[in-house]
Amino acid sequence: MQVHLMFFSYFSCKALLPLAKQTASNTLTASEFERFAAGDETELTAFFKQHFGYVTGWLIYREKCPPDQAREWYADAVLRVRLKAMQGEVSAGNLRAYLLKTAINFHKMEQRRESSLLKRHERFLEQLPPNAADEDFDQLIKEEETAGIDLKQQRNILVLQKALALLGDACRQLLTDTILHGIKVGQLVEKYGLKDARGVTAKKQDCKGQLQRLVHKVLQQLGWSADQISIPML
Amino acid sequence: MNHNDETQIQDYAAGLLSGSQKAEFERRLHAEPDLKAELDLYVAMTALDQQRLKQSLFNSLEPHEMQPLKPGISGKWIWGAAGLLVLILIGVWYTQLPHPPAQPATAQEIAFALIKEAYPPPVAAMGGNDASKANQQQAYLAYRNKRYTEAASLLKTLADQPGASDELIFYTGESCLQTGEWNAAISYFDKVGPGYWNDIAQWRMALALIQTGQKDAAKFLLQELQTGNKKNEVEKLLKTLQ
Repeated sequence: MQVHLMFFSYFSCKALLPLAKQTASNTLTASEFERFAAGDETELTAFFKQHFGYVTGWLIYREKCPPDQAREWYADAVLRVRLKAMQGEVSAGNLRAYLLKTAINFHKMEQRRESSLLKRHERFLEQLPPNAADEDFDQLIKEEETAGIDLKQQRNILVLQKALALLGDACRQLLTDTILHGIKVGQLVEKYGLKDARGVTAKKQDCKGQLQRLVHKVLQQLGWSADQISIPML
Repeated sequence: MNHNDETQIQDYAAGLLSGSQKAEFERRLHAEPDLKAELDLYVAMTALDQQRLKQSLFNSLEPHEMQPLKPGISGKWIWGAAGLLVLILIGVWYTQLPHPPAQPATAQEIAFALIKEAYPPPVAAMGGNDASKANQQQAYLAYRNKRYTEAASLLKTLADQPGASDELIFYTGESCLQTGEWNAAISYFDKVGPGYWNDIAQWRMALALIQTGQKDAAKFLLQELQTGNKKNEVEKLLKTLQ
């Protein structure tokens, strides 16, 4: 009886252990979450890979979402969760559940999201040729109905894409963190290896200045004027 | 631009504003060119950043990682089932544990337990038809109500008188047995003559003898009772006395 019991326990544990491991690995450790919330792209990639099968599977099999859209909603949801983590609006815990809920919401709001400003910008970007920077930009501007966004917004994208490509990685990242992710300068001291919050503010101003000069330069190269775009001159 | 504006810009760009919130924000966009400019900057930069990140993320996926999984049992259920299984296993394991065998009871302990089951009280017709003496009635009543000290005291007086019945002598011995007067009990049981009360008196006397440590005398009596209606208890006691 004792021997049978040992075998039973052994095989039960053998069967449950991988499932338990899978469940345990669904949550980020404190340090992983800290890196994820700090915008670490390696951690983002790991997070993306970790939940891809689960969330897209749920969207496809439970929500009857077409596979291509499931992939897109999943990617959008991951970036949304990351943004919320960066802004300190979510804490370490069952991020997978939050991620799934976000992806399902995106799927349910498909129509509204598809017509959103961001999606229309993304669609415009998708329509651009891979080597758009080498093309004649005036040729890339389309009718508002075709592009889904107005002319100024199309120019914004083209100018910024070119200017950001000329900007250094550190500056691009710093401006992304502050402008896009709304992270306070105090939280970026360690990430950018700066002395203190003042150092981050100074660096941010410097990067903004660099981008501003690059935007001007791109505008000049294209023969466009500042009033042909609608972004503030930083 | 305050934090609320930043949040609204992000939600509006992502298409997450609806109803009156969306209408109000769009009214502000028309009225505030700076807000519109901030929105355009945000949305252009976000679209570029998202495109870059999405390309990088999808490129990072290995073919085997791109497989959507069929939703199965959730983690909560797995842990619940595992917990239940562990509890069952602990329960089964515990029942299989070699529990230390209980110490065999001594003859004295067995006898004491048997003594504590007092012999049933005499059947007495109460009232005018009962011809027995009043103090005998009182003694039996005390015995019936488990007031054994009172019963022993009353019965001793009656049993010591000449012509006392075997029944009365037996109940005197039994009352002494219940109050722990082992020698007095032995003495009264010994006085019970042959007949209906004799076997039961010998059985109760054997129990009293065991309590006083007179094992040989007890064994002798028990061997006499081996074929009687107390056969099982007698054998058990004899085995313990070996």
